[in-house]
Amino acid sequence: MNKEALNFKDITIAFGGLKAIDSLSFDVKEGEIVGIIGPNGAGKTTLFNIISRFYKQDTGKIEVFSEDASSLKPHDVINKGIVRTFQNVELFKHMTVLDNLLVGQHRHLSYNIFSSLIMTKKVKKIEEDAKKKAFEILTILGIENYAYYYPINLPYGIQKKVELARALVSNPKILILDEPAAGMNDTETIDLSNKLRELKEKFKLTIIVIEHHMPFVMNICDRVVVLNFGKKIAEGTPDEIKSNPLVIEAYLG
Amino acid sequence: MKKYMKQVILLAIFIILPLIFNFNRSFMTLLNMAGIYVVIAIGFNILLGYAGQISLGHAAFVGIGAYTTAILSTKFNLSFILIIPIVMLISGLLGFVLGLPALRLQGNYLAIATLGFGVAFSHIFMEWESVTGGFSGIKGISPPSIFGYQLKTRLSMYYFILIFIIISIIFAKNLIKTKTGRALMAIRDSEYAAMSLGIDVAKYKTIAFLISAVYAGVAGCLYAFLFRQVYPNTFDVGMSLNILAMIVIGGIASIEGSVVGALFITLIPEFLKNIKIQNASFILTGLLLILCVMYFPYGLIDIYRRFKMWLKKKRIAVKDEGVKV
Repeated sequence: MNKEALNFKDITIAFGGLKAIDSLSFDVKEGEIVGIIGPNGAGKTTLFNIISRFYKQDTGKIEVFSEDASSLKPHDVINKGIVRTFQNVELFKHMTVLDNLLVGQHRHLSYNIFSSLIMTKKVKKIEEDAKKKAFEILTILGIENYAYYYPINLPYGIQKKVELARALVSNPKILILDEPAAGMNDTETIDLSNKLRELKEKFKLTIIVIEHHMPFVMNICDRVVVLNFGKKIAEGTPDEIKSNPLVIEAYLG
Repeated sequence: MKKYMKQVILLAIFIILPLIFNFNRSFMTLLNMAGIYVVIAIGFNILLGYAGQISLGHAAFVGIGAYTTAILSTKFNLSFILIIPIVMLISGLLGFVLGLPALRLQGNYLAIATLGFGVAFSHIFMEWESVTGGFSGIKGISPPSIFGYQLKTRLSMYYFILIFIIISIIFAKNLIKTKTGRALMAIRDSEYAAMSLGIDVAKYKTIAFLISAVYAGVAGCLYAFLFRQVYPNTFDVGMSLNILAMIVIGGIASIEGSVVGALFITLIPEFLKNIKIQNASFILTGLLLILCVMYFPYGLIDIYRRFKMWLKKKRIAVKDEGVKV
């Protein structure tokens, strides 16, 4: 059995009187692709925002590789190997695609501000290497031609890929994807799921993904967790989930 | 070397300009003043243009730089070699302090808080008589001397300031194309994405305030050396707003834009002085500010950029036609 990559223990968070997530527990094993599904407002993105530490849970605990991660600062989360994409694409829109990927490598660039002001040889070397690495990732995703474009000038699908590239370039262990297939047509979605599998093997990733596109979820996920009104109503393999009456009710009823 | 050809030519022009034209003293003063504003504007653009943080109290840092210089020079007789690092330290420290509320405030609220900071300091300069000399200010600052040569003339100060401008530009350019600069821009564009990629937003916002304060402090120091006296009402809210106008008109998030804006705003009254309308330069600045915000949100430098793009496109078009024929 693989090690646990992420472990949610009894997470609850309320906004006002509304419990957005209600005593949620589940775990994600290393190397798994876990899908989080549920109707709108089920608490999926809230869960991601708790992992990112943008929100603090009221009760409960998160463990990352069996270490407590409940009191991390948002900018420390990446140092645990967790990196995310956003539902509505949060690219740095006044920076080129290449610069976006250089920001993705921020924590690996080990020079101080004074040496960067006078551009020492070391700084130049580190910057060159970072650029090379950015191009490697862009090439893997087939978007290297857009390196010097600004995100605003790119179609939505490419922007999503850039965001994925920016996440990958930071050497994550756990990749958290918030609706990666949103706005894509069926062929693009199939391409994406194949790509994600490939990336998972190549970079030895653990992936958690929120997605509404059911064929995508069923195709790619090893396991699926279903949320409704902040509660976990089902968990299992895609086939088990498909035939679960509670899930069908939540979606259709 | 060829890569920096344009910059070298520009620099050469600025070096020989006063030698060829032999400007009178008042115009040289104005040029020096413009140079000092260039340093301030570059620093301010790092804060506003790159980090996306507003400050309406930036004149306070210029004042701190000027008063620190005045006091160290008149009371302690220190040379400029020692004064400059002390000025950088003090203004940097104050920038850090002003950066603290910026961690909790955004947009309009930050504007109001920094405005308060600026107003408070202009009153401190006025009221703390035992240190700042009150209304009469501080006189008798000795000019910087290099190897026994005192920089008393406007021309020698021009070159002295030019050196600071060159260093300011190089540092700012290097900053924005490396880690720190990118972190600032990332915070400006999306704080959440920046955080999720490991950028400590609080740390970098403070750094932005600190850097821009150091630029303003050094500029204040140059100001004190240029006029060899300082008065409290120089460093008021009007100056802060002028700095803001320079960047909006010159070009937000552009080092070249900061230079253009500072030169433009400082020198425009000189070129309009023959027009018999009172405050013609203020009217023009105001009008330009509105026009820039409406049609050129990236400032005058954007007109040049668009022109360059247009030329490039035209050249490509000509080339294509050549192929067809």
